[in-house]
Amino acid sequence: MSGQATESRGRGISAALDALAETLVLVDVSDRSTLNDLLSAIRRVARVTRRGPGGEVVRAAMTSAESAVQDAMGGLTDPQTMLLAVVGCFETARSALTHTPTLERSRAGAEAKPEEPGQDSERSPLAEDAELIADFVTRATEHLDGADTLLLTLEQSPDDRDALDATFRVFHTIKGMAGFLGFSEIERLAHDTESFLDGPRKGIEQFSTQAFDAVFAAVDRMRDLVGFRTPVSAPTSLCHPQAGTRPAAPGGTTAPAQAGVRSPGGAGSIARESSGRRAADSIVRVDEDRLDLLLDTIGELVIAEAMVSESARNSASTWGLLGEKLSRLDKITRELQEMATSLRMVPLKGTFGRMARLVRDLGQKAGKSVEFVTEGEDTELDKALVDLMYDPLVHLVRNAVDHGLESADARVAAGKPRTGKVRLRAFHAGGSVCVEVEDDGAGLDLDRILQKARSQGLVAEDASPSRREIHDLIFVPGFSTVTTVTDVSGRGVGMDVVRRTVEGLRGTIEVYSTLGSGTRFTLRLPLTLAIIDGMVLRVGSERYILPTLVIQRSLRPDPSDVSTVLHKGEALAVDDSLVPLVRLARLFEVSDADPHPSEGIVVLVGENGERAGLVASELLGQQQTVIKPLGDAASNTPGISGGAIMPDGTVGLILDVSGLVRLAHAEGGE
Amino acid sequence: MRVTEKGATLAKTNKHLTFRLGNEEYGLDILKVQEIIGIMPITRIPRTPQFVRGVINLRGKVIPVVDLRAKFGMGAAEDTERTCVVVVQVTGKTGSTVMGTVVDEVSEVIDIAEDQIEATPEFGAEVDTDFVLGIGKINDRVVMVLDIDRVLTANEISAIKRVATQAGGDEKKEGE
Repeated sequence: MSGQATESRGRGISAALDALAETLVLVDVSDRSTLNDLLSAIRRVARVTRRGPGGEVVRAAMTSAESAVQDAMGGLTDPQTMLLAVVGCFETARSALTHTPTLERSRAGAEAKPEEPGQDSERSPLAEDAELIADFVTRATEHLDGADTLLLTLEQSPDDRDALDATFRVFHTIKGMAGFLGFSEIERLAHDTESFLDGPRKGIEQFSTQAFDAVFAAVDRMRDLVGFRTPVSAPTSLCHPQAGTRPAAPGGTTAPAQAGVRSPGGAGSIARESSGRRAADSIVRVDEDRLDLLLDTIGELVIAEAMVSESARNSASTWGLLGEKLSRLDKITRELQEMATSLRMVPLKGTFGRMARLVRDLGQKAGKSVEFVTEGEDTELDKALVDLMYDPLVHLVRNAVDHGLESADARVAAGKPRTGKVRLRAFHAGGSVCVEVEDDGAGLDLDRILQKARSQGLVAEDASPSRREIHDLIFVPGFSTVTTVTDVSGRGVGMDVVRRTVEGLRGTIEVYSTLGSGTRFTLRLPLTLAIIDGMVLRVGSERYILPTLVIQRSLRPDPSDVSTVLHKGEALAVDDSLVPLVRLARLFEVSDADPHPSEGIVVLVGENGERAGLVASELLGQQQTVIKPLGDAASNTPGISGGAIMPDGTVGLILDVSGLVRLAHAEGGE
Repeated sequence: MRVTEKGATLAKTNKHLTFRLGNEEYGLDILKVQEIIGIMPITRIPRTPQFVRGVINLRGKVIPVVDLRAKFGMGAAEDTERTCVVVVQVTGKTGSTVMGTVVDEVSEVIDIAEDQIEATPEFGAEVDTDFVLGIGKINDRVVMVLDIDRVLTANEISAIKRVATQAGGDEKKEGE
């Protein structure tokens, strides 16, 4: 096939799709002739489709669209369902045409084969610039996240003029950016959404729930497109046939515009208003590496300053001369360090906003009416932590809506308000940040959990664990996988993963629940991953840092409490149980010391249910240190999780408790 | 094949940093050297091979330090005020890393032309000369020109990793 023929063919299918879109908009379910028109439009698309990976999808979609229409004509299904199905098929076809050839094109270079001419416009020369695209992706994603929040606000208070204007601007900005880079599909979608919002914006009409669904769907679709993660078939729920409540759409029943088709009415009413300068524009984007370098350098400055002060302090004459100046320098460097640390901090607002969206969607899906309350969304956390906390939070929020809250009827029966409440709260507590996910649902049923745990052999038949211990059972891996989700109120599915993630970030998770009145999960996280709160241990002439979080207590045992096991391992009797002792000096081959537990100090540590007693010479005190990666050469050392810069500028090694215990086991076996 | 590799390395520059280990003098392509710092307290990392002295804090970056004496099997020496850490950029298969090497004394920067370098004689299986690019003769001095990438990469790092995995393997056995 010659290039020209391909092109005309391509134009053919594009035209056929456009015609189909138009017919779809004009369809009147009560008029049989329009259904016939629709049928022929569908067949035409199928006819002009070329063979190829994209073509197969299109043809399959058209076949199913055809049968859907026929079913409706035969009275087998109701017309609304049919329309929904056809719109879904249409979407599938269109995205198959737009995306499959894109892949192919990148593989085969300039060979002629694109099936849709429209996509040629997506090959703007600018679109080849990876940096521009990356920037577009981050900014567009931010804007779309913002749109979610704004839409949720609008849903609560439709009269909020500012929110409406801001929403409008988001789509306008995205349209502009996408247009600049030549991403025509995103541009079109943003444009249609923009036009759709224009009615309410001019005060002509009010939003309906369906209209919100449509805009949300458009946001999701754009997010998919932006992330280049678009699946070949777009879910049918993307467009809702009843979404178009705006009078501008002909027929008044469909609004495929929301899913990316330019509806005939939408094209005319483009509001080209300047988006105005946003406050956010004053933010400077900084490369993360440069930021880290700045933090490193400031850290060094602090150390150097401390060393200078230290030497000046040692002689009275210099101190008199320099003391005052040095204290000033000291103050400035500390301030600088604080400022630098705060550069990495971002508020939880963005994450909370995304949760609001999640709750809305989940509630709708489960048919529950949910009120979502957030508190303390301005609480700041290290950016890396915020990113890593996202998945666990999604899990907890999903659990709260899905399994925590009862159905509306059950709630009424229990004498509670119909609308369930999910609360997300963040606050500072001591040196850490707490994030709470709370629902006023059914709560955890202790008896059933205990029963389940007994049947799985997790708890001895005769044991009577405390309330807290029972609550902790939901974090045991695989605990609830054998029961159905509704049993034990569904908690525990993947809760072990949540706990592992949180503990991996040096945080803790606790659950508090009252049967019948709700459940609360409290995550306690360090402010940043860059600084560790640790206890410095001395072993002979060497120093090691032990994360404060794993320490239970320290003691100097009585020699009689220490017993030898098979002349190899040592164990210490504490609280009626035997805790294996790990002699750090032996394990780390420290030549100048190997204190007997009763002469040195034993630090009891616990992590992941493992307990051990570390034997050191003495405790030097608590310290906050900046964590540093050890680099290739040393990062795989067992028992050491990383390095940290000590206040005197030397490197300290951070102990990894589970690694130590494993290592001690291995040594014992030799 | 080694010849071409050497050729490529030597063609870059003639300037070499020379340093002493015991009675021997070694040379190092100046482009590999990032900086020279005086000896400072080095934090030992337990369970690593002898020649890994430990890690130091180089302006906020933690870098490993290798003892070349131990590496070349020369027997330990006390650190003196002349002992230095030569910070080098080592390029391996997986990219480049910054490492410190402890030497007895840094001498000077000299020109060693390509024709002044002779191929390393074979000393038999006992002596590993893989990391010696050649022997430079300048007047009456003999300088061993090192291929620092070979001295410190692949084998060394994997040796360290082996230590780690060994412990892991034992632990598996223990679990059975």
